[in-house]
Order: sequence, then C-alpha cells, then structure tokens
Amino acid sequence: MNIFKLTLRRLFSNPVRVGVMFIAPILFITMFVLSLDVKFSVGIVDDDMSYFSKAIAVELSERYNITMINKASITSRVAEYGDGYVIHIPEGFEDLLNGPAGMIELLGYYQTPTSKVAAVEEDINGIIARMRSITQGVEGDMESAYSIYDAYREKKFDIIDSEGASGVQERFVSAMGFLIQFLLYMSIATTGIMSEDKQHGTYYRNFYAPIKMRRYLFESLLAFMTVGFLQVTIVFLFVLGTMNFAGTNYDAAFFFKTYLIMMLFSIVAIALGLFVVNIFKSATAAYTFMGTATTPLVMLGGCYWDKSLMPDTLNMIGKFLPTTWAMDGIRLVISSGTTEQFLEILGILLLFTACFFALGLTKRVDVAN
Amino acid sequence: MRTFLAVALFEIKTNINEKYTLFMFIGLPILLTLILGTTFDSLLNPDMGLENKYLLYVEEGDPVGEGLLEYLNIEEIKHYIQYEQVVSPEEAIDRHTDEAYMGYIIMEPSTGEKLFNNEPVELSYMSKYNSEIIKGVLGGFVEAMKMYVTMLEDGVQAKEPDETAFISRGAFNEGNTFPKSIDYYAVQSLIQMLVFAAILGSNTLTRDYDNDVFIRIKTAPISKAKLIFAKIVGNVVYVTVAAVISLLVSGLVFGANIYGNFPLILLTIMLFAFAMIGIGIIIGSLVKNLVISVGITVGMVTFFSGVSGGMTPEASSPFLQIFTPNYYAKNIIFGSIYDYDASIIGQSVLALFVGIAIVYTAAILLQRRKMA
Repeated sequence: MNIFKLTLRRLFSNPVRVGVMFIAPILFITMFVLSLDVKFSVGIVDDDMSYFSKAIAVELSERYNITMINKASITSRVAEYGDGYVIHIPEGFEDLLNGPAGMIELLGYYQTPTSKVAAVEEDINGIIARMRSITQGVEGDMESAYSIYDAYREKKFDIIDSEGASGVQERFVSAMGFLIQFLLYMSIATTGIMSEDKQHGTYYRNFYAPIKMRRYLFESLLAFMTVGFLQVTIVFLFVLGTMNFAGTNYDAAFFFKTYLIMMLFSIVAIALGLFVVNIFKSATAAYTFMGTATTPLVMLGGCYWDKSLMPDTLNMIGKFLPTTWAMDGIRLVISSGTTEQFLEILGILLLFTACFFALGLTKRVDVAN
Repeated sequence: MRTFLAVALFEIKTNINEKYTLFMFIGLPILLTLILGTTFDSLLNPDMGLENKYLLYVEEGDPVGEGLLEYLNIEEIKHYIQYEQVVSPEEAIDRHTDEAYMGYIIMEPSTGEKLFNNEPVELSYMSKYNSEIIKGVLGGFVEAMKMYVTMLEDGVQAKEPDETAFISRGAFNEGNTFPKSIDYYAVQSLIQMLVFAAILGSNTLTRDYDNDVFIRIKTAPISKAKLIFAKIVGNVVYVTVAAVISLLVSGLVFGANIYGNFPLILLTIMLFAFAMIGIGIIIGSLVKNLVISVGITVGMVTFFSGVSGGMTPEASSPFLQIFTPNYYAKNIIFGSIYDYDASIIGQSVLALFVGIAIVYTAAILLQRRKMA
C-alpha cells in the first residue's frame, strides 16, 4: 500500500488542500448556516418623537437590531447594510392615529424585497393597527390610550418556538448543501494530483516501475475516498455537535441515512473529479474549471435553496446532475420517505458513479501515443 | 512601448486560447444570471407568496382559539399560513414531519380564561422553514389579543381595524425604480466573475516562475516590472471585454436593467479587475503554485460573493461585506443604475482606489523582497 500512503501524505502535506477539504466547509457552515439566527438590522428615522412613535422602536427592539438614525443617512444606511431596512416615521404620526383611514403613511426603505423585509413590515403594520385601535377606542383621549397601551404590554402571552426546533431542518439541509459543495472541491483537490502526475511525467514513469497501472489507480482512488469519507465524517460530527436537534424526531436511523447519502456522494464526487481531470490536459485548467463549475452545479442541484423555487427548465437540467439527487435524498430522509424511494436515490447515485468512473478511466490514447 | 503592447497582446491571446477562461469569464456569469435571476424572481417580488400548511390545534370553545381561526382566515394572513385543524396537540406533533406540512401551531388549552385571569399563556409553534415570518405573523395575533383583553378589562370597546397597511416603499431615486431579481443578479454575477480575475494574476506570476522567465528576462530588452505590468494590462483588457460581453447578454437577452452611467460602470469593472489581478499577484508571490492559488481564489470568490449578497441578499453579512471589494463595486454599479446619492458612489470609488493602492503596494514590496 505504498502508493496509498504516499498519496495520503501528499494530500495532507499541502495546507491549502487541507484548508479546502476540512476547514473551509466548517467555516462556511458556521458563517452562512449557524448564523441564520442573527437579528435583522432595522434603522428608524423618528420625525415625530411622540409617545407612540418611540413605542414602535421599543416593540421592534425585541425582535430586531434597532438603530435610530436621521433622515439624511437613510440611503447610505440601506446601501451599507445591504440587506437592511429603514422605516421613516413622519412628523404628526401620533395625531393621525385617531384620524380617518388612509392618512397614516410611513416610508420603508430597502434594496431588495426579501422575506425579512416582509416580516418587519408585517410587524410594523401590526403595531400601528393596535395603536390605532386603542386611540380610536378611547376616542382620542391620549392619556387613557397611553395607560391602556402600557397595561397591554404588561400582559404575558408568549409565542414559543417549540423546543427551539424551528428552522433546524432548514439549517441542516443548508449545511448538507455546503458539504456537497465542498465535496466537489475535494474531488478536484484530490484527483488533481493525478493530473499533476501526468503533467510532471510521474504517471508515465510508472510504466518503467515494478507496479501495475491498476494498482496505481486502485491505491490512488482508495486514498481519495479515504479523504472524502474523512471530510464527510468531520463535517457531520461538527453539524451534529453544533445544531440543536432537541424537539425534532431525528433519530439514529435518520442520521445514518443522511450520512450514507453523503458518503456515497463523496464517491460520486471523486468519480466526477476523475472525469474532469481526464478531460483537461493541464492540472490548472482542471482545477479552475471545477472551481468555477461547482457553483452552478450546486445551485442547479438545489443545495442553496429548495428546488421548487426554480423554473421547470432548470429543474429538468438538474435531473442530470448528481448534486440534485444527493439533495433529493437528504430531503427525502427528512420527510420520512419510504425505503424504496431511499434505495432508488442510492441506486441513481451509484449509476452516476459508474458513469463518471467509466468516462474518467477510459480515453488512454495519450498513453498509447 | 511596442514590446509592452506585444506582451499585453500576447497575454490576451493566451487567455482567449484557454477554453476554461472563456467559461470562467463569459459562460459562468451568464449561467449564474440565468439560474439566480429566474430562481429568485418570486422571492424578490414584494408580493411573494408562501405555500405553508401548518397543523393547528386550538381548544374547542376557547374564545382566543376562535379568534386565531378567524385571524388565520384573513386573506392577507392566508398568504403566509394555511392550516389544517387537528383534535389534539399530540396529533399535530406526530404528523408534522409529513412533507405536506411546514410545521405545527398549538394553542394552550383555556388560553382565553388564563389571559383574562392575567396568568401567563403560550402559543407554541414549529416551522421547518421561514420561522421568522411565522413568528411575526403569529406575533401580530398574540399582540392583538393582549390588546383586546386589556381594553375589555378597562371597559373600552375595541374597534375592528379599518386598515392594516401603513407603509409605502420609500424612493431612493426619481422614478422610484428598484432592481428586480434578474437586474440584481446580472450585476452580482458580473462582480463574482471579476473576482476570478485573481486567477489570471497569480497565473501571470507562477507560470513565469515555473518557466524561469524571470531569470531569462535579464538578457531581454524589457524589465521585470514592465513585463508584469504589460501582462496586467493585457489581463485587465481581456477581463473588461469579457465583462462587457456578459453584461450585454444580461441586458439584451435576459432584459436585465444594466442601463446606468456606462463610463462609470466600465471604470468600475476595470478598477475591480485591476484590484483582483493585484490580489492574484500577491497570492502568486506568496504560494508560487498555481494549483494552491486557484484553491485560495475559489475560496475568496465564495466568501466575497457570499457575504456581499451574491448568492442571496438574505445571506449577506452587513459587517463582513464592508471588507470586500464586491460591496463597493456593487454600490457603484447599482448606484449608477438606480441613482444612489453621489456621496455613496464617490465613497465607493474612493474605497476601490484605496484598495488598489494597498494591494499594489503589497505586491510591489513582495516582488522587491524576492528580487533582493
């Protein structure tokens, strides 16, 4: 097993390879998945400075990061906080609470209308509707309105995210999406050394050495798969250790099935890497191609978002990609799909592996020449 | 000068001959604009609808529970939550794993009574996705209930709300236009592609180190600095032309709004490409291995575009993005198309220049150290 050991040593002696395979996926999952709970930024321009306009800021501060700003800095605030939101409360806002319908108009500023923007606007509309109900109920007697508002805010009627389980599925699927992305990077980071061997002539010098080409390929592939399995295991353990699965029905069988899918996908990825390395003559071209092609591959596979968001044409294209089937497998396990459906997905992933291996290990015309 | 131009032209020709660079600089942004622009069309639309079905348990005869049913039947609320009533909390918990449901909502028994007795009560929920929206929508109901009960306690008759929407979208520009999904991603994908120019920068250096060009050049009629600069110019021209092509495809084929101040957009593309090639030169000088520099660049692309909203605006990091050049390029290009305040555009242009100055100072210092 000299080639196996040597290949592993070569793979682990390069700090960038180790970074791409083991550190980067954990870093990205931490940044983009585990930080999903970070509070949304809301800026408030309060030109009214009344009891109720200030109360809006107090209510919103329970759910969002609130900053009081002035009117002149609205545009820069939204531009700086790309996903942020600014609400402008005009002068005379409180006086209009008891007025006729259609008189109150606040201005909301944002770059793109995301679901976070929709949620914050829904909140603000609700707050104002309640303030309006109170002031209209007391027929404009503002002292009574303030007193009722304070009493209502004291009441205890809490909304509980059941055992903190909400969003766990969303985060788990996203984490698996990132793992798939980094398995694709791993595929080229590992199989790429075969391309380097060809470029430096090492591959061809094997013909003069007392080893068979079959052994070289077998031991190299075994080393790549070992790295792939290690990557899946490390990221999986990290995800299990950092996410709170309490309150979900995710049991040992669930984790075993998702782990199995990821293990199988690591083999698919290595076979794909082998195929890419076989297409490109230079290692640079293979690395660059895979580095750039990975983004559309994971996007079309639904690794960043649910497939239902994509148009039918893109979903149809996605069916020809292994990333789609791996993500389908994860979502199937989450939604408690049947064993037959699970086996079908494993079968399709095996088929992809066979195809990529066949394409990656043939076309040895250059050797013959 | 002729030697300088010949080297620049050679660099452009080399890039054109490399199929993977054509894919990277023209194919990829077009592909990403297509995927992202069509995928997020519904999400970036203010009227987005969510098909979220929840299992709901409320105790029969509980006035607050009936209030919740009434609330969930409002058309605007149906937009976010559809429900199927179940007979017990256990049934809701057992069945929510089914793919057909987004989660469950359970109202504590005797909620109305407890609320009137000033006892603490809970409305629990579990949502597989979009938990923040659901929390917000349910929060609206809970707050309204608290208010009605308080008003009744004070002997005040609560009035049904005569209107529920009070917010209009504020205008940044005269026509009050904002980027649609395809417009947003046409720019974001372009910027993402420009980060890959770092590969050309590191390629420029590592290829020549590998081929001992910097040793052989000592007998040639061109200095090392001039040679590197000519290569940078060649790469900037190549990347700029590729960027303009992909921008035109986005505008003419996909109908994206790319119609801002064209000279300013062109200047941004060139400055950004120049900065990225500089970063590539630094990476190349440090690692001297193209394979490693490709790995670093791919990581950089993913990080820069991720934190600056290149994947989805929701995943952007307000804090981290100010350290990425993508953020400033985005501000200039969007600012030019959607008439941002001149000060924002000016600050962003300045930030790009400062970034370039830092990058090239570092690159020159590294090269000098190597020569020494």
